[in-house]
Amino acid sequence: MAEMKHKKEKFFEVPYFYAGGEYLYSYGEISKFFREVVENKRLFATKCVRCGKVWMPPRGHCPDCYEETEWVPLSGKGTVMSCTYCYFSGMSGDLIRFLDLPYVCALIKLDGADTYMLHAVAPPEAKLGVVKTGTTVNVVFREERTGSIADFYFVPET
Amino acid sequence: MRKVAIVGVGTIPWRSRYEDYTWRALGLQVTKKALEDARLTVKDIDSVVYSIYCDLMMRQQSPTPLIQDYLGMEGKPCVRLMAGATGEMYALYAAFSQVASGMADIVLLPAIQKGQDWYSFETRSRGDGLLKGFSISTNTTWMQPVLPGVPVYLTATFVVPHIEKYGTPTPEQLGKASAKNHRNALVNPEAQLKVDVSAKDVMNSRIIAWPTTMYQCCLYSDCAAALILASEEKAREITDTPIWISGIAVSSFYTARFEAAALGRLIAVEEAGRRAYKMAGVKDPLHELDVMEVHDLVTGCEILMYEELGLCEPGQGGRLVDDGIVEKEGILPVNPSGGRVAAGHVGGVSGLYSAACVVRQLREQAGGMQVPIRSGRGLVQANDGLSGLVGISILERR
Repeated sequence: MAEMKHKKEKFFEVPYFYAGGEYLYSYGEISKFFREVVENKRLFATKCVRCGKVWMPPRGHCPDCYEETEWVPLSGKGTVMSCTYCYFSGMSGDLIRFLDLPYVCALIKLDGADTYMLHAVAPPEAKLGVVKTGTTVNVVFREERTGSIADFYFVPET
Repeated sequence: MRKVAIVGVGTIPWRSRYEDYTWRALGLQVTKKALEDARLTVKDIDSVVYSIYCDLMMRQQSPTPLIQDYLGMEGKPCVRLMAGATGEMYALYAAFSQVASGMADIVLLPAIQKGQDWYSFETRSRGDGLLKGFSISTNTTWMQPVLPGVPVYLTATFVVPHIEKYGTPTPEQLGKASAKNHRNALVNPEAQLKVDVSAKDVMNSRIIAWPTTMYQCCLYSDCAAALILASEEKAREITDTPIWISGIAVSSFYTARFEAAALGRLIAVEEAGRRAYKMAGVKDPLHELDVMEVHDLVTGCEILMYEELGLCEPGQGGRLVDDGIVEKEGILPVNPSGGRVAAGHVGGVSGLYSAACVVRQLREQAGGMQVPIRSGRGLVQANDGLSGLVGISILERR
C-alpha cells in the first residue's frame, strides 16, 4: 500500500481563470479616507468619540469602546517607528510598480494619530541606514490615484 | 474533560509541487497512512475535522463536501477550520474539544493544501502566480497594496524592533539558527530542501528584507498531513504508545493595529504558550521539554519565540543559538525536522506535520531526526503569516 508511487504517465495541465477574480469593492464606513486621497490629496484618521484615541488606519468603530469614530485631518507628516529595507518583491503589491527596489517598508506614526500604519518610505537613494527608527517623513501623493494606499508613499523630511 | 491522545499520524514528503496528485488524492494518501498507523479503518472514525487553508490556491471553493466524499466519510460529521496559516492548530483545538467533551471518541484530522497550481501567465512563473494570489491573504486594504511580502512584514514588525531594543538576534545568530534547521533537514527523508549551508552562506544569501536573507525565509510547498485523535478508553485499545495532548491553547493578537507594545514581541505566542504550559503543568520548559517544532517563517521569529516561550529571558534568544542549546544535540532541540525554512511550509498543514514529527520523536520512531527523550514531553507551535493567530500544543508520552 500507499507509499507515494509516482505514476509515470505525464500529468495534463490546463489554464483556468476563476470566475470571482474581479470586484467593484466598497470601502463602506471608511470611504471618506479614500475619497480624500483621490480628490484632495489629504490623509484623514478617525477618533473615538468616547476615549479620544485616534486610529490610523481609520476604523468606523473603536475596538476598545465599541463607539463610533469621527474623522480628523492629518498633516501627512510622521515618524518611522520601525522599518526594514526591501530588496525583493515577489508580490503584487501595487506600489512595487511605481517604486524602485530597494525601498523601505515601515511602521509610521503619523502626527496626530495614536496607532501606526504600515507603509513605504522611498528615499532618493535607499542605502542602509538612510531611513531608520525615528526618521521623520512626509507623504507624497502620486499623480494617478485610484483609491488605494498605493496612491501615496512617504519620503524622508528634508 | 476527558483525556485525549494522538493514536495515528500520516505524512507525505514536502514537495515544491505535486503535479501528479490533486489535493483530494493528497488528502486520501495521508488519511490512509494515519489509519494504517493506528490500525483503524474508515468505519472507526466518528467525526472529521479538516484544515484546508485557502480555496483560491486550489481552484475550489467549499472543498469540504468534495473531500468528505473522496475519503468515503459519508454520514459522518465534518467541519473545516480556517484560521490563516495556523488553521491546522485551530482544527487540532476543535478536534481535541470534540473528544474531550465526549461528542466523539475517534476523530480524523486531515490537513491539505496545494498552492503551486497557481501560475502567472505574464511572467510564466509559478512562484509569481503563488505570491500574487497569496498576497490577498494579507489585509487587502491596509497592507497588500504596499507590502512586498510576508517576510518583510515579519522583519519590520518583530525582528528589527527586537534588534533595536536588545541588540539581538545578530546577523551571525540568524545565520547559525537557519543553518541549524537546514542541517537538520538533511536527515529528514520528507524534507523539501536539502542543502548543507553554513551560517556564512545564510548571511551571504540574497537579502530579502534586512537582516532577513533568502535562506532565513520559509519555503512554500504542496503537502498534506493527518492525525487521528482518540479518547483515553479507545486510545488504550488502539495502541501501546498513545501520545497525550496534555496542553493545548490558541490565541490571537493585532494584525491591523500597531502600538509600541506590539513591536518586537510575539504576544500571541507568549499568551498561547502560557496557557498550554499551565494546562500541562510545565513550569520550566527548557528542562521539561525534550523537543520543539516551531514556525520559523523567518529565522528571526524562531529566535524571538525562544523568549516568548519562556526558554530564556527577553533578549537572550540569540544566546541559546550561540550556546548550542537548540541544536539537535543540545538541551532542547528546536526544529529537528528542518522547520519551515528547510522541511517545507504551506498554510494549514505545517503545524500538523510538526505535531506528527513530535509524536514520532516521543515514540522514538524519528529515525535520523531522533533526539533523546528524557521527560517524554514535546511542544508544537504554529502561527499565521502575520503572527496574529497562534496555536500551541504540549504532547506527552506517559
